[in-house]
Amino acid sequence: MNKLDVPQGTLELMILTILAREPLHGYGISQRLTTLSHHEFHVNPGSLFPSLYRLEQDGKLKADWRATENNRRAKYYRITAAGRRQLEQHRERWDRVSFAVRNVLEGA
Amino acid sequence: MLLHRLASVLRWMVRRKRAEHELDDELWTFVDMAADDRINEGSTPHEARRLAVLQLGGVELFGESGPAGADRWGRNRRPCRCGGIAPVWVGGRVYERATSPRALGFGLVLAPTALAALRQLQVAYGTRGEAQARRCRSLPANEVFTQCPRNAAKDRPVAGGTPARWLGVSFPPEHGSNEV
Repeated sequence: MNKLDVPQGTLELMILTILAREPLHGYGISQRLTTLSHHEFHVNPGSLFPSLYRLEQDGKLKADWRATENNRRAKYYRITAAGRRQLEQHRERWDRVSFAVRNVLEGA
Repeated sequence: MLLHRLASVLRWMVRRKRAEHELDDELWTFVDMAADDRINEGSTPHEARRLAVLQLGGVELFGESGPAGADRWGRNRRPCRCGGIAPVWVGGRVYERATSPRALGFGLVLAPTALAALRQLQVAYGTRGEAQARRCRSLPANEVFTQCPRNAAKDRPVAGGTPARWLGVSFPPEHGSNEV
């Protein structure tokens, strides 16, 4: 079965949600997203890294280079207080949108 | 004013180059980790690496993108003023800003210096190389891996394109909106 596209505007929400649990590097975020979506979503690095860059530039994420468990050097991202605030806003908006869409689908 | 502007342009160019290098390091780390996973699944190291590079430069670019009229970084993309035309662009910016003959003369004197400095920067950052390097940089990921010389220790193409080029992403020129 084909994998699903990440819905427009939700990649940052998913990145912030994943990083709210623990700091991760780009590959880890990509893997976690695939696992948590039960292999439905696959995010390409060409979409992931620009989003990480935007979030970092906007102060929603902080990043630092350090060694991984396999002794590789990787850039780890962690969420900031501003990022947590944005995550709450994104979640609230997403809850309202999904609730509204479900109501329409079930009421039609 | 004029010197301040010129210094600002040069600072921006150096900062952009540094950030591009960091992005490439990050993408290579992604390749290394993806290759590790494939080796754990039973692929040979070389095959694992080749597949990881292909995965990185694959055709499956999913729909997440920036706002309308902007690139994937969320910024309005401007044409690249790099390489040989950069001094012309710098000169043009100087001309735009400085309309007085004195300032224009000042700019003309500074242009050769800026050109020489730019060449030094290109050499320092390895963007000025032989024809093969230029050809390799323009190749897609799978061809780079087979046609360009490789660094055996790192198993990376020596003169090949960078992961960022394979992905078709360039470093955003300036910071802008984050709205998606």
